[in-house]
Amino acid sequence: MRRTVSIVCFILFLSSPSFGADLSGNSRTYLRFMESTNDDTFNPLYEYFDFHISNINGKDISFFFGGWLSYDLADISYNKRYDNNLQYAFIQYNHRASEFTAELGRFYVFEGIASEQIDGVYVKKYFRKKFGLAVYGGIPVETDFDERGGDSIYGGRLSFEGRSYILGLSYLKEKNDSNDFREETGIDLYLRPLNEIELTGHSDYNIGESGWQEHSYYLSISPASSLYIKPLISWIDYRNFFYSPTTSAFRFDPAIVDPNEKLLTYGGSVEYNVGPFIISGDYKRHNYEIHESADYYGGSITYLSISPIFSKKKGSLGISVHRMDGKIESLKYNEYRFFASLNLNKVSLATDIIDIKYDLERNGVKNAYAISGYLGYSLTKNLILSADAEYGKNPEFDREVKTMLKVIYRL
Amino acid sequence: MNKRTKTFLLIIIFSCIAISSYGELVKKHPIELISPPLCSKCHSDERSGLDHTYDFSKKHGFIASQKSLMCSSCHVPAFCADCHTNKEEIKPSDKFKESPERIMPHRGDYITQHKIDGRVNPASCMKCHGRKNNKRCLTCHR
Repeated sequence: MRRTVSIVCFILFLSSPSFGADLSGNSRTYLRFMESTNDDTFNPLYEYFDFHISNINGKDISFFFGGWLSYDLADISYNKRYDNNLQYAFIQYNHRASEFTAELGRFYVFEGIASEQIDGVYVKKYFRKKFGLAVYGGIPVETDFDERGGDSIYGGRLSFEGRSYILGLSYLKEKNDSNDFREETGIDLYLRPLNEIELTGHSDYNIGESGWQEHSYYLSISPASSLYIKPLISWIDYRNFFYSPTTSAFRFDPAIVDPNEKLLTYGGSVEYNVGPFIISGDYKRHNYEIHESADYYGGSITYLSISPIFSKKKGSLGISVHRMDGKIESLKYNEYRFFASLNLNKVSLATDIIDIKYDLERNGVKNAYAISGYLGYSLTKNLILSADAEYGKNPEFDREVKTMLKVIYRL
Repeated sequence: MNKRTKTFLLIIIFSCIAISSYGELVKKHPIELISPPLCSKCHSDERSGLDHTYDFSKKHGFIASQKSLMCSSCHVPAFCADCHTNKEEIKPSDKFKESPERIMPHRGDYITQHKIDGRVNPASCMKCHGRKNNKRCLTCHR
């Protein structure tokens, strides 16, 4: 309680008129009703709260906070009646003129090979508006399988940025219990020689295991107005990629997923935009070195009624059909989806139907589906009340019903 | 890395420094954008490549790993935290039922589907659940 009062006082102090700071954020309250496969009933109540205070004391300092609390009103969900999580809380100094940014606290780092959450410090500086240097270090925020003592993470990225390209070189090292846990380096690339051609991608190298983890590249070509061709290719070496998980789910059993596997995925999509309609076809081939290959292909028609920049979405409609066609029976199924949404003045409606038809029965079920509906009402500009429900049948549940009530308030 | 590779990388680095130029980043986008923006409506330079088209989410990871400061000129961390977090119990598609057109993972019955997706390409699971947000996996994967 004392800590909560201290935080509230701190926020009020920083956002007081004498400081001239701007405060904004969201409170999101969710109440869920659902059952487990053992027919246990769960009614967890969640409060997600986030805010940021910018321009503290009229300077370039901001403070960001996000986290949630939960309490199960019916039963003990996931072995805990109470639960919580601090998603992020950090002070940021962002000096635009000198293109310098520093962060201190719990934050996210997205820099080349790093997609991490860290308790620590992050600094980024652009030099001559041409190249940037980012460095970070601290304690990783991960699912702990032991104590955090002796855990550390640090790394950085050097980037060279022009009007039509970005080239980045990044490095990351993580220790667990003072022992080496991860050491990786990567190259990331962005090329846009013409407005009609764009290439993005990265190659990641596992230094500890001395081998490439992944190459992943995505090309977008627009040979004519409203027509987009988007090929993609990626390659993954399982032994180098899955080398430091914190769950046994990725410590593979050779009988199910061979850790010596190498996966080459290629394919792409073709999109044609006709006014608010997007017509697309896509194909992806998964070629395994050890297991049998699998193809995934299909098409979709989507209608998006959006005034592109300044207005809210008015509505959407979509239908898609896809086929997973693997060499083995368990990887053969058809996937159908239909969705629609409509935003009226104060009322929002949405529905989503997903149907999967397996070639081979799973737990006696050949046709799995989920149907959901949503109704929202804007009580004021900043307060939205909504309810949604989902009904489904699948190999795990004969009849699955999930509902959720939401109250969203914007500060 | 051998000597030839290091030399090659150094040549690339210094060539880029010599010929590159880049405009100043703004801290906050001067106009508040309510719906997914089409940057090319106003910008004709490299920012036009940031159009939030229907499938932008498929490449947003590439963009964020290179231009995270540009992302933060419109998005606060809460936007990322709805999906990217160390601990989460509500699927993003359940938080945003009002927007079925958004490309989001794990729609519908994902208990069955995760066995299929995990077989086809487990790397897609590892990125979010390999080292974080995987306490729920322990229910079955002990």
